[in-house]
Amino acid sequence: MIKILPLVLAASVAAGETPVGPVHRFALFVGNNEGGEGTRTLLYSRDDATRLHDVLVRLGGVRAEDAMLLLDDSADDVLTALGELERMSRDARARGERTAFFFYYSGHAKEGSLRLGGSKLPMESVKARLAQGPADIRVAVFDACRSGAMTRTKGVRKAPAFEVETDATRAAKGLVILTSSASDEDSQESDLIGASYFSYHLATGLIGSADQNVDGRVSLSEAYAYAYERTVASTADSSGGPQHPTFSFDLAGNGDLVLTDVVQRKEGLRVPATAPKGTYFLIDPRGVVVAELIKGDAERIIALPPGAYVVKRRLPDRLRIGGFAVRDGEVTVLNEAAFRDAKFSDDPVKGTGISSSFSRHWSVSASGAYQAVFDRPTTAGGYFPSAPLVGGEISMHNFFGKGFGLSGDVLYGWSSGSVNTAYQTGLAYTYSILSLGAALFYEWNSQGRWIPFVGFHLAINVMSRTFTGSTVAAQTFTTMSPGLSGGLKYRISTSFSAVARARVHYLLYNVDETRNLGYAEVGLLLDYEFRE
Amino acid sequence: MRALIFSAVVLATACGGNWSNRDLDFANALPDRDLLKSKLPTSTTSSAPLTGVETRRDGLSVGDPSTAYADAKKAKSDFNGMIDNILGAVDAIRKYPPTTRATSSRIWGPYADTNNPGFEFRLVITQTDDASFTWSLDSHKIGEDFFSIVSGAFNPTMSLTRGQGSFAVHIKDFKSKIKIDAGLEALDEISVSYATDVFPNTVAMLFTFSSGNASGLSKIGYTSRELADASGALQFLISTPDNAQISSSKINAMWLPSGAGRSVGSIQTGTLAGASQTECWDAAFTVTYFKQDWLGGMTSGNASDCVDVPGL
Repeated sequence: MIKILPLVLAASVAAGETPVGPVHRFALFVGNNEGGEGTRTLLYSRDDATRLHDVLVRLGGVRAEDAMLLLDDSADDVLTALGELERMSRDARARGERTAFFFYYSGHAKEGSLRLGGSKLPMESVKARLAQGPADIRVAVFDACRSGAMTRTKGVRKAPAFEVETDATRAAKGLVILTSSASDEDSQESDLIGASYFSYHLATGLIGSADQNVDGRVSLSEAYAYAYERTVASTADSSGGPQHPTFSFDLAGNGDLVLTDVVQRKEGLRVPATAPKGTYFLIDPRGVVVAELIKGDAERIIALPPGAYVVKRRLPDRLRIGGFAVRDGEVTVLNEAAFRDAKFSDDPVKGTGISSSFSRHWSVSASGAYQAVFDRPTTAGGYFPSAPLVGGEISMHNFFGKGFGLSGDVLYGWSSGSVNTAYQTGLAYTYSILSLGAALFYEWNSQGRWIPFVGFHLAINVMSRTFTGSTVAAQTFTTMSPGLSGGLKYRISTSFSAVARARVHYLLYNVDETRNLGYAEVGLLLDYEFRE
Repeated sequence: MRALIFSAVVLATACGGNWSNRDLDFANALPDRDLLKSKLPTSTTSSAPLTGVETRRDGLSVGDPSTAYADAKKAKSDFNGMIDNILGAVDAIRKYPPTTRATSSRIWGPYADTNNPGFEFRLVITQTDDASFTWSLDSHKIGEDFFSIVSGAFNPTMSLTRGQGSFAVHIKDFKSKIKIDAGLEALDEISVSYATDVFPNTVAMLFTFSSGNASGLSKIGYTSRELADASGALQFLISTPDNAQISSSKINAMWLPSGAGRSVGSIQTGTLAGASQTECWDAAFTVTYFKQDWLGGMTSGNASDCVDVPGL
């Protein structure tokens, strides 16, 4: 699936391989799945920004109070946060500290602007702002379609790596920009990794996969080289075509910059030198690949956060699968010998499945409900009785973008009772209701097992009652009734779900008198989704 | 913009129909012909005398098919037929929702009168106070004022279609204006009163004939009474002032739920006033007692074999 991803990251640059510590680092991470008119909802921009934020706060020497994470915020919010971090950076410099500023953006970019929901942020103004920023070193990463437009100035390269003179003695100052794709390429994301390719490989590189010289630290050049190579490889066979990250330098002075220190925290996975060579895929409990490690002769460390993981090696004829857990402040040593052989069909990598969840798709449901009318009982002068209902509905999910869907439903209900009026009692009737409805709804967490939803529902109710033992004319009432609905869907399997739903409706009665009535409807549905 | 929002709200809650508890009360003010009909048990055995008055003989013996039952059955049939004729149109209208609703009235129609081209009819029910309704089935030539065909009143009580009411068919007023059934031409008015809120439920019907009509009849009155257990009675009075011997007569038939019953016919006025005939029958509708109470009249069976119908 092709997706449009912009991304911007910033890091500190120091002369030679400057350690993480001495530079006061500030960082702004922006993720926005929405790009406004003319764009499709992205699936992982927020996750990308969150992931990079977590990696750099955990391993990159960025204090939590010096980092800002903006998810689905507007252009004005971004500028405000940028101004605040520039002020903090300026204050730090005034105290004599060397400073670095990371700016990361994942989202839409179109027609020369970063698209943040309905707002726009011109790329040139962002670039100019970063170029003139107060920090000594500014590193920006843009993960967005055609984000290579950001590097169309001096120093731009669409290249697998850039070389840094590591023996330089003069600390570097200036701006480095990395982009996820060239100026004529889309940036793509994947359900299997639950991320955009570029941001995923950059983050994986930063937790240790990119540590080419095995010194326990990942520099900017190492991270870029790794992200470039893996991004091109991952997208080579994709329907969107190969995606080539780019970089540009506008630096005075020399030196590489250390972005993360994967050994300092002493938490993660150690792959001993004795472990077989090859590529190891580290998989979280969802079945999503969270890191890749290309093991050579040397020992490798991946600074994974605490949690349980499955690890997979792919051999020509089979898989080797094992598991391990990372605990707080501990480094777990991988024991490949404890792996088991598995068939390719038992691949633990499942992916998030979000794309299919978030793509437009139909579902059909069978429903049973009970409608309780907010009115006096008909034996006490009320007009409408409560009744059980059965019916069905058809829904189009993500019709108006991620989470927003449309549905149509039909319900039929019936009951019997007696009506008492001012001058007679016990007039028996049979009651029926036919309800045709349409709903606009929003679902959260569509990829999850529990999916809450809310919506607006408009029903046309045709109610009728016939009187038994009397020649009085049958009575009907037709009304258009607006209401609100909400509920919870439980995904039983990939396609089947059980749904508990409640609706509250307004019901206007206006024959004998005008009365503002209403009804509540609680129901259970069995839902089948036609997902790809 | 405000108008657009208002229109949207109105459209979103658009509603309509005839769902009305008040309509039920208005419709209830109309007499229900099924409730007013006499319900004489009918024979289910082949021995029953179902040929009515044609089987009448000068005298009867115990065990003979009861002619009084047959007469009562025919009277019931006539009575119910008249109820059907009078209230058929009202019942038909009641099956439709009213055309016009006002706070204290409902109007059905006007509808085109297919039997009288150029005419329309309507039904108007008005609540006159908390416990009284009046109603009128009217007709008019299009462009002229309405005149009443049938008018009635009803006082409901808190029970299903129960209450006290009356209505009258104003034949004299309309027979020169619209086509009517041939059977009504000799009549000036039919008036009916009924009480269906207490037992015995009572329906009284009085036919007033035009003076000088060929039948010589002046008035015929029917009174039907019915208890909760389906015991019933049907009384009819016939006034023939031009008949010197029998100026008026009365027949009072009553029966139990089983069908067994008794009938007493008597001459009320005329030179034969005081003569009477009593006939009792059992559940098989055969005579158990017969007595002609006049000089030379015959008697068969014992009076103790007559059933008693308490409460009527």
